[in-house]
Amino acid sequence: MSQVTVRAVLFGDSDPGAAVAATPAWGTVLSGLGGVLLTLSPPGQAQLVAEVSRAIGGLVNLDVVEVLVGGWRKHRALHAAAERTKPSPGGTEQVELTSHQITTTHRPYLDINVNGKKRATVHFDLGLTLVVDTMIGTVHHARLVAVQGGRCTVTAGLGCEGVPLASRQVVLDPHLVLRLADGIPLLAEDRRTANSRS
Amino acid sequence: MTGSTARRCLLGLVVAVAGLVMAAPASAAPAAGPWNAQRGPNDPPDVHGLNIADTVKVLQSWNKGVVIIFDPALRQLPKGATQDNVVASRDGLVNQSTQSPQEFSAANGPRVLVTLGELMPDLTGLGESQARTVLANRGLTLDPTPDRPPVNWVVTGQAYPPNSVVEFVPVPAAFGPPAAPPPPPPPPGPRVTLPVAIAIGAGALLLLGLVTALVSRGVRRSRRKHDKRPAEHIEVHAFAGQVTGPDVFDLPGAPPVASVPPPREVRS
Repeated sequence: MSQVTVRAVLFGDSDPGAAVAATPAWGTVLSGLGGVLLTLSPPGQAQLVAEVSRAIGGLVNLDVVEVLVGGWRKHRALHAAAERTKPSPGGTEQVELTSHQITTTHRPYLDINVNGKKRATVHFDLGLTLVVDTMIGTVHHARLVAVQGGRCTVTAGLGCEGVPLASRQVVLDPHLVLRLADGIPLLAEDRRTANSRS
Repeated sequence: MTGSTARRCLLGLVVAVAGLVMAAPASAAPAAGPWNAQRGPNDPPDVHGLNIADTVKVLQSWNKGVVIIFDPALRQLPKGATQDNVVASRDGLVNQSTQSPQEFSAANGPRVLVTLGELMPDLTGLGESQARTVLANRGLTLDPTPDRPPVNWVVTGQAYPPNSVVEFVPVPAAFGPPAAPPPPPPPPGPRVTLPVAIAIGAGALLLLGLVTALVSRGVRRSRRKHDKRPAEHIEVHAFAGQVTGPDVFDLPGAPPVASVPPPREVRS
């Protein structure tokens, strides 16, 4: 699978830290850090702001395709087809999926330590919603080996301490972002085997 | 260059130029001048710088019948000038028709005009009134530069050098502020014995070392002060936190999911 990250969805090629720092809401984040910032020297304040900005870039590296596939693995129809085709090496089914929605929410946070002591925690909210149009998935021996249709509308949002920082929506074509190759294992045990092989 | 120095140089230049202009007609230089160079075999001898008595003696020895005409006449010398202090500046033959105020000898000999003057005094360092007095005692007048020098100014230059013969014309002299007295020579230092010199040297070296250490310490502090690195050790750790999902939902209104066998084998 090619990697499409929330970072790319939200910020494109821009630096996440710089992009977030340019938003009006960034001032709210900094005011939340005011208690810590006031205790620091001017170079220390600059370093803290830079470190938080850099850390935000790491928080949004979530892979959108992984979320999509993770959602499909939980889809009852695909899961059932995988269960049915697994015992038969030649077993194949085509599964028609109606429009469906895959959601995930991450609540990462940053711990700020000054001279070895934790001084603050900054909480973030990263929400991802994928609306997948009607599609037909081909399941062979418990693996998703082909997809027809299934245009995917991705909506990503990032917030900090309840304040929205960034939000963006893009449309993905699963045929362009999915690298099916030998198929994507849909069952948990097969996934573990595949992971151990890789 | 200070203003007073520049002014003094300018005045000196003015006096020098004036001296050059005045020197030729006044024949102020004591050495033989153009008169001697142009003197013919029948001309009278040069009497430049001689007093009245010697002038008469030299001319009469040249020609006993000489008629000596003094200018100015001996009875009309300027105030302060006397027959004892005037000297001859130049002499030359004159025509018979020249009328002179006084004839010294027989009227049928050659006539010689002797122009009188005074020996130039040294005016350097004198104030204006002092210079005027010294000149007046010899029948001379002062032509100061500037016209009205301040009372504390002194003569810094004169058109005619001391002891040169100057005729009875105003004498140019330059005035300027008095020069500052030269600084007194430094008092001789105490004589230092070798052990004392060694001790002083060691002390100087120690002082130099201390100064160097202090300066380097100050430089280090200054660098530390301007260092952009923060004094605090700041760490920011990221944590994944709580993860919900992914969850999948069929959208409302969607038809039920259908699962059918494939029309053909998908994989070859």
